[in-house]
Amino acid sequence: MELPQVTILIAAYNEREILLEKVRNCYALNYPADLLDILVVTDGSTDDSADILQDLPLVRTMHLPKREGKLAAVNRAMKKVQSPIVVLTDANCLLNKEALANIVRHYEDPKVGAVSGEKRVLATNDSSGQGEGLYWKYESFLKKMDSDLNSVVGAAGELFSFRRELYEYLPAGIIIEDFVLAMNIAAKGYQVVYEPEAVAEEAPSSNLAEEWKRKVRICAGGFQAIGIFSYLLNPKKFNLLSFQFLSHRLLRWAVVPFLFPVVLVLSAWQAMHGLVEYQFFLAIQCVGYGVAAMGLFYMGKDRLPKLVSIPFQFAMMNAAAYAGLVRFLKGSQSAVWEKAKRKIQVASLR
Amino acid sequence: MTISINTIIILAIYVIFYAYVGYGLLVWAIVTYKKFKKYLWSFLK
Repeated sequence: MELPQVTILIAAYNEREILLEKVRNCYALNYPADLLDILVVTDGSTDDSADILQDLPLVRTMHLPKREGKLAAVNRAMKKVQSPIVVLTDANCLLNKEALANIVRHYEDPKVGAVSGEKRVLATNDSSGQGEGLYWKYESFLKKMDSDLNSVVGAAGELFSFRRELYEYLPAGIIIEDFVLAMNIAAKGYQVVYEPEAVAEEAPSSNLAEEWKRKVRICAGGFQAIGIFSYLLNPKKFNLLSFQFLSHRLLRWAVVPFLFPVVLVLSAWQAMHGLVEYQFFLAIQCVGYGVAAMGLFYMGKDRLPKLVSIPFQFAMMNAAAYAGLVRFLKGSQSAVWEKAKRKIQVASLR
Repeated sequence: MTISINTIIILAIYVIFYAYVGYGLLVWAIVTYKKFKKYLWSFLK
């Protein structure tokens, strides 16, 4: 296969601290330099991040003083892209050397419209990182299965590639643009492939409050995305994609979080009426919620015990759906990107 | 009354289990079956 020209598109907001490291990371990728184009958009940045990239080989920069969010920045940059393949990657994550080569090889198949890489949260002793990492391991397994079956439903915004001709200029106000971009391509009948050997490593959120903020944003975006892609729930037209979207996204985002209290209340009702099996079931649920609640006492501590971490992260993920729904209904979730603060930069963890 | 509450609880647990575990297992089973069939087919040919 003849290697195509690739544009690495980085939308960065006040990422001066890591931008040079990111560009060095792009230089280190195992891909011919003459086929590489690095386009960095620093819209809204106030830390002179665009200036430090001036005169660097292969790097083009775009900057507007006004901050309009990642999607607006990507939309603007896409007008300047000539390469047939675009790789979107966040400034605060670093790629493995073979990432690009592993992504590009999938485009040999004309049915492949996009390739999603693997997001890896680097391990620290930090409490917010533990569950995040564990959750992603399971999600990665599901993505691999989804990809092998038909198509991934969604993509990791940290490392996501697509054919330029399939890019759709999305309107402002889209909260989780990576998901919407990937689903648009899948809905057109192209396969969105998951490539586990293309890895974007990032540091975990600095604390649980940051992690909560990130989860609420994703949930609010999830409700918005369900509205946008409700037309996919037509199995006659979308076949497997319809089944995957329903099972992997709709149920997880919009149904399951609201079933937990139903189960709790109804089993309490049954237990009160003397049904022994429900008294036992209620006790199990109370222990689960109790252990999850213990996580709140560790919020200021450096480390969350593993026994507490898993139920706590699981409860937090589902609770975020309520806050996300409220934000979505009120229209108060900003589409301007708010990256979770990271305790340390990813480069120092490598 | 008892039956209908039981049904709701069981259905809710089923949906929760399916969304988090069952779907993954189902897709894994289909993918494994397809791979096995492909392998078997190439072997028999």
